[in-house]
Amino acid sequence: MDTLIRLAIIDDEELLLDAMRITVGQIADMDLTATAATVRAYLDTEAAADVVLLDLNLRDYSKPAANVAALVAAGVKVVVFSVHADHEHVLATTEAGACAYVLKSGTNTTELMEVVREVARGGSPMTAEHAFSLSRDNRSRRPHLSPREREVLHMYATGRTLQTTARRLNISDSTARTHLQRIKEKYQAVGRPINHRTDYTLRHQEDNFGQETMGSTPDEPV
Amino acid sequence: MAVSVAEPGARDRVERWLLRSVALLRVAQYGSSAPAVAVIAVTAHTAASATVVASYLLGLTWSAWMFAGLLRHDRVPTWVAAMDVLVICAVQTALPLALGADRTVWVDWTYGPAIGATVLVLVSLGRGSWWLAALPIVSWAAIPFIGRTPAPRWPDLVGGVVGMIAFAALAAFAARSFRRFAKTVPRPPIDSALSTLQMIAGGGLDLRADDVRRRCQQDADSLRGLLMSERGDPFSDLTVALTEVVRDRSLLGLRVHPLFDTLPPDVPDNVAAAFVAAAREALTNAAHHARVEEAWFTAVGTPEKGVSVTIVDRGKGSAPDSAVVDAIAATMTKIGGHSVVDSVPGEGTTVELTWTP
Repeated sequence: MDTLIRLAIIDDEELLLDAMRITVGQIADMDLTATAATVRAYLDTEAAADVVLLDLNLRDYSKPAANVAALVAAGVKVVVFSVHADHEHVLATTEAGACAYVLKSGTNTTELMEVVREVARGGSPMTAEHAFSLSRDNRSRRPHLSPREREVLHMYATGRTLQTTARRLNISDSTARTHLQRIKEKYQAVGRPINHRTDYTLRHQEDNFGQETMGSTPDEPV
Repeated sequence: MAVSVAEPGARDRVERWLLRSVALLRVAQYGSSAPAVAVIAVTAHTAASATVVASYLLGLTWSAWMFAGLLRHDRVPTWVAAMDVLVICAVQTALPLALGADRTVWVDWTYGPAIGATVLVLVSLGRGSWWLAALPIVSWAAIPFIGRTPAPRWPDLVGGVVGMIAFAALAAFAARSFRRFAKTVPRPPIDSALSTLQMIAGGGLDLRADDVRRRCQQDADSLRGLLMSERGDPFSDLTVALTEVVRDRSLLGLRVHPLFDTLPPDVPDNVAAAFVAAAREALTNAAHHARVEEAWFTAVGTPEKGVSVTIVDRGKGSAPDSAVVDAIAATMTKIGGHSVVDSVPGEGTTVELTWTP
């Protein structure tokens, strides 16, 4: 890949950050532009990044979904990189706009960087664990998936490759990939909840209204 | 089934608590009738009143003796619960027969204890004994029809029966809920992870050694599988058993990705044992024949309260040994389940195991 990918990592494990600095430093098409322990610290650095690797649970007790939403609002693509695969977290961060969800456990550097490259290219890779959590979504406010989308998701969620999934369903690989992409888009389309007053700010920023009103006084009409 | 769901104390505590609750319920049921029976004993010196008081004391004595024994041994033998039903039904039949049409001193003290007998059966013997649990209710409903009595007051009768059924159902539901939330701690994966951490902390392990890293990975995968399956409910025995299978196979060098979710809590032992055996065969096949380093192990509950387990490897996809396929099929057929093996060259092998109650 000719383009240099600007990567940032947000994780509160200093050991992991050290290891990633060394690892990413040896990868030709990656440029580690920033590391931070919290999302707020990262945003304060004003570093430019195309993709952010985000740890799920940070020590500032920030909400994972709010962190993803804040980064998406700042214009970066987010890959959640976590030891957790709780369905609740996977669903929340997917709805908040995370491009991919990768488990720290058992994912080697090569696999992780492939995910980062695909996300940087505008792709939407999905791990089996990510698909599994989406396939087990039994919430009442889950997005509506077509029967075919559900079939693709359930089959892919068991660890089958995209090719095997496509063969079993008598569809092409690209059709299966499109279904997975569409599923993620449906989640992101419904994932703009307002559960807390801080969410108003996030939604506001995502709609690009926040930038205009940041400097206004409280008395000025918005 | 050799499942090491440990901390049996949690379940024992819940059973003890349920038994004490049923005993307290019986105390309240006899206690609520005690003033009326006492008034009759003091004010009405007739054979009929003596019969009512004597029957009350008989029921009270039986209940006191029974619960004293049950609480001492912390368990309810089937014959004791059946005897409790028999006693209340006998009283509900004999008392109106003895009183005949003379029911001016009638104090229906049996209503509460009849519910108590029903609850004891449902809580201790389970829903399979519903017919035994129904006897005290039927017996109470038959009281107006025993002896020469005026026509029964239907609204009272129907209301009383509905009340008994509703109370018994509520008690059975509460007992089931308490049992489900009896937290059990799956010891094997936790003990293994603790032991690994302890060895690392002791400095006796080379953290860069492949076998140490593999062991750490196995522990992490086991714990993640357990955590993934937990949605606020306690871990089911089947979850713990399958986690053990995943870990066992990992020791063969196969990296197994666990994908667990909401397995039913009360799978029969033979069904759980069949899943364990079939899953072990499938993973062993993946490790030995598919020549892969990774496999995906999905175990979920189905909407029909059944179980679905899928084992996927992305190996060369040669058809598994027919003996293995036959062994898996035979194991699943024995419990009324199904197995499907799908293997295509270059695409790996998938083994699907399903069972529906």
